[in-house]
Amino acid sequence: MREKILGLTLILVAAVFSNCQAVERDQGPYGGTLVLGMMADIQRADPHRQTGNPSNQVFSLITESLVELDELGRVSPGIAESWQVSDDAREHTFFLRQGVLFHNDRELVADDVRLSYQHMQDPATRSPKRADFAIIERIEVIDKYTVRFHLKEPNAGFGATYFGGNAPIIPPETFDSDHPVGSGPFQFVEWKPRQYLKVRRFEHYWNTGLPYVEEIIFRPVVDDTVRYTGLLAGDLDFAFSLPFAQLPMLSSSPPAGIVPSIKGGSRWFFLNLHTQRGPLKEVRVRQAIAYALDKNVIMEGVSWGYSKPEAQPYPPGSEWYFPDVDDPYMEPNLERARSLLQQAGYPEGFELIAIVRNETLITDLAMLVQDQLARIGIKVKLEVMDRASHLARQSQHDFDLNPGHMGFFPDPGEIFYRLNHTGVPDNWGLFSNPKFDELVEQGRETVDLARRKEIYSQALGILNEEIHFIYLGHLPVAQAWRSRVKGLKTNIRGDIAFHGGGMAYAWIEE
Amino acid sequence: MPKYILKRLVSSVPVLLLVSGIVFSLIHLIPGGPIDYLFADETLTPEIRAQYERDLGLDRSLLIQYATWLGRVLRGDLGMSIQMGRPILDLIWERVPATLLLAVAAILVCVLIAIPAGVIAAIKRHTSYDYLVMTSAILGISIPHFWLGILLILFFSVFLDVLPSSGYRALFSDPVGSLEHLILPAITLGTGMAAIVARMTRSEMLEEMGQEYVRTARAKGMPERRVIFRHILKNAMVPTITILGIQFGRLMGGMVVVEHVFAWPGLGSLVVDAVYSRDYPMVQGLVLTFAVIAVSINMTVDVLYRYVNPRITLE
Repeated sequence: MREKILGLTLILVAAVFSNCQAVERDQGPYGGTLVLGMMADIQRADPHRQTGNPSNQVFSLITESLVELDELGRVSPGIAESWQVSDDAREHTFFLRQGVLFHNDRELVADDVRLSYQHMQDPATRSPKRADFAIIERIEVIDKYTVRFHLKEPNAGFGATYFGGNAPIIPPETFDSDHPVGSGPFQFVEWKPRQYLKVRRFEHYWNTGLPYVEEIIFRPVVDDTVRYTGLLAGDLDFAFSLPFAQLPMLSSSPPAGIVPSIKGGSRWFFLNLHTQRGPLKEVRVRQAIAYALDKNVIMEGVSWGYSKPEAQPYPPGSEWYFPDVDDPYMEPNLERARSLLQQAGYPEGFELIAIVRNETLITDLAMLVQDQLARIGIKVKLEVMDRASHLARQSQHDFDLNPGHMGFFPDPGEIFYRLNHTGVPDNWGLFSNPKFDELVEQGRETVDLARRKEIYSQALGILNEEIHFIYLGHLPVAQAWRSRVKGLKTNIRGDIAFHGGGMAYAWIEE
Repeated sequence: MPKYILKRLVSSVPVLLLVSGIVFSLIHLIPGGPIDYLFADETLTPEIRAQYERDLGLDRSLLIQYATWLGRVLRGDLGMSIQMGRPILDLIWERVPATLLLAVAAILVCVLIAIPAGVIAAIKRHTSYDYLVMTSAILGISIPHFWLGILLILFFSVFLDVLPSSGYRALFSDPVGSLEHLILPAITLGTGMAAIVARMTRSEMLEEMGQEYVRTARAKGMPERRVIFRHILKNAMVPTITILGIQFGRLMGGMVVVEHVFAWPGLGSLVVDAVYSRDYPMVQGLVLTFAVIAVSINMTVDVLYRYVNPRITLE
């Protein structure tokens, strides 16, 4: 074992990764309070039991993980300054930053990492993320600042999964407490459910000098339009996820005192197809559907002109974006679509059922798909439902078409394997392709970055040929803040905490 | 009177049982469950699903689940929220002050607008006052709460910048802030109800104005103000009170929307979240709470009749 460790391949230690303090930044004055308009309230004040984007955003300021993402979504140092992966991708060793203090002023050490992960793995904890940790065989504390994960099976992207709020390291003495303690730039003060959650500057934050703002108040304002008006009225300093319909006005003539931040995002928009039901069993039928869709119209329509079509889950700028990928479906080709249907034995078309979550973006997409597929004789019946019903239908593989969008995973091992490998729970359309399975297994076993890129590029080729997901494009990140907020950047996911930026780097200028 | 109240209390038990039974069946009939929702953003393996079902008792028959829930309720325990992991009774109590504050304020807005408007419309029948009141009432009934709410926010918070756009402050810890935050949601919720109550008040007033006792009162030389407020309005109030009682359902329905628009932390949003996330015990606990409130309000309305019109006997 030791020999194997000696042969470790150092993969992700670049100069920028070695020390967060090396990141250049402007320096602002200290103090003040920022009020952030959230899309929803957190469900629980327990970092190991929370899930979902709004919770992750809140906890990403309070707690930290072994790794973080950077502005473009690349894996970067968090609590761990660097890490190594063994040749067989079964052993992942993390070298922790020294001098990191929890909010109770105790130093964060390797044993805290071990105990945190074990707590999340423990069925009694009922962590929603438990399935992600099933791959861990054991966790070994090498020394005070070094911890090694031994995996049951190879997974080169193991570390990348646990960024931000996904696997927070918290002091074991605060497990199961409703007063979350972490090592992030802000410490928890109080939570009044559905009213606000307040955090205060942690003055012993390891990244010396940060943060600048004294207090941040998260306010759940569920309605997009009200969140936007709250920003205009000055009740909010920052608003997440603005309604896309407001974007043209917001970017062309932003209201006084408002700084819009509209950029290409990482949330990918898709049409998921069942691959084992009725006519969809036939690959030519699935390809015909892909040819019939006008991705330009769809992406322009849903995003009010702020997104362009893409043929892959990773956005431009990401290290897993493949610029050379061929997209035969970039432009609609109705003739080809009709010919494929004819070859497959469906010249007259047929009817399909789409399960549609009652969310504006998704219902918009579903209606466009319905309209566009009608042109080749495919009648789509839309079954609109709430999220819980949709989740149940999806997990029971009970649909023909499943329009939706999904967030960003920093490692393709997660996104390709979890959604498309034969027999995994989130393979909703029951896609099965031995060559693809072999490739994504190889991808998990391979440590070399260049080789992994080759593998996933090939895997993407198979997905675009076999059509389980029709990749449509990426939704923009639409946020805005008051002009008194300076030094603020959010990353490609719209995160307010990331390596080298976010709320920790923002200050208030009156 | 105490005997009547006791009788009503006893007769409300089967109502509450029936309501809870129907809601229990309905929420379990809707596709999707709490575990799907809890793992919406995470991987849910069959093993984890089985463990959760076992832990939450969802693997047992519906009848046993209902009986278990009922047994707990009789012991005063509404159980734990599946999604939030906290006692349901605590979660409900946390939201009661905000709900109560908004409900009382909305009813106040409603009564303060509706009764004078209805009275004026009746007295000045077929004049421009009447038409103005009735047109406003039609508008009040027709305008959806969410639209009115957003318009009010735009006008008072963005253009005039005199009131906060959304949020809540506790009445006792910050009375001024609390009232500032209360005005817009109370107006939004209260005006819709006022429209109905104003129309009702007007028509009841008109009916009473044609009664013989009114003619007698006037013939005796009683001042018109006294005839209207002491006799006509008092008698016209009986159906109006009934309508106010019935409006409770509408109030709760409207509250769901108003809480959404104004980020108001009341019971309405709690019940919507619970239904969406299939938090079965939470839905059950909330519906039971609403049913108890509805039964209590109906009883109060019945008792109030007695005071408004002594000829009504409570049997």
